[in-house]
Amino acid sequence: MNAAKKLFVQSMIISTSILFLNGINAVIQHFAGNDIVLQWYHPISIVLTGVLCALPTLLLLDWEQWDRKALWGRVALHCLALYAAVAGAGWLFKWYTDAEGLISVSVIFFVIYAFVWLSSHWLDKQDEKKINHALDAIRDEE
Amino acid sequence: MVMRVRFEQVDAKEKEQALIRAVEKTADIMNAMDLLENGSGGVTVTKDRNTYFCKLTQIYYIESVDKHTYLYTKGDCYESRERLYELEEKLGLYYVRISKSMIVNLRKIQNVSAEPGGRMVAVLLNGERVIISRSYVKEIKRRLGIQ
Repeated sequence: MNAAKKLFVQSMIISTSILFLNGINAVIQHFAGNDIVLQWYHPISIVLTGVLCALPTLLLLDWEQWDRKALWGRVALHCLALYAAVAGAGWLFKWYTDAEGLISVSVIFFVIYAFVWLSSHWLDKQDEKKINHALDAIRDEE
Repeated sequence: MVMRVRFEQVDAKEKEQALIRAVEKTADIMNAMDLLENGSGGVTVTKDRNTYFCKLTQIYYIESVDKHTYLYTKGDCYESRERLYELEEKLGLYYVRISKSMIVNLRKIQNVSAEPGGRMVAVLLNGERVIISRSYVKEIKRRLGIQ
């Protein structure tokens, strides 16, 4: 997959995720008696945040070149870069207006980040089991 | 061993497959499977200025380093004049690209383990470890018939 396609796919995934979470939040708020009103710039801000978050993913998580020692350093850097993108976009597009709002955005961000990593790893472990099972059937005897 | 053999023509390369129904996996059947899966070919390789013929079934993995192509068997390393992509075309179903610079023989893998970040580590039958890049896992699953 070339870089432009990766950037587009990543941006779409992140934007859709933000939109999905906002959608869930809007439903919860509605039933709690607080309707959320979107400003004209909110939808485009979600798309722009998706692009901003996709860039560090492409720059820092180049899967081909990872060595094990650098893994956690790069993950930490990636997490902070994404957090800066989300917090910066949130400030710019007024997703939050005070410290309390920033804390809420921060907590949600880190929970989602950890969830994405853990769920990805769980899916990879499922692949590991399937591959090992399939390898058992074709392995050479040495 | 005497066995009835039936040929059925298909219209596409992807549909080609061989099914052997037998009471047990004898040496003859193993040879037939080997021939069908890997072909009868091999690769001309060199080591210490000597030229050898390396059977495809002996190959554990192939690596490209600085425009040189190296073939690794159980305990030896040979050099090939062919480029990685050229070898890739002549190898069988179970020789699969696992990174930009490496092809592994799936039949020589003892097991794989997933690492954080989506890549996998494959332990080969001779104890060596090779890295499977995230983007090649899908192709490995396809070759192994995993949905």
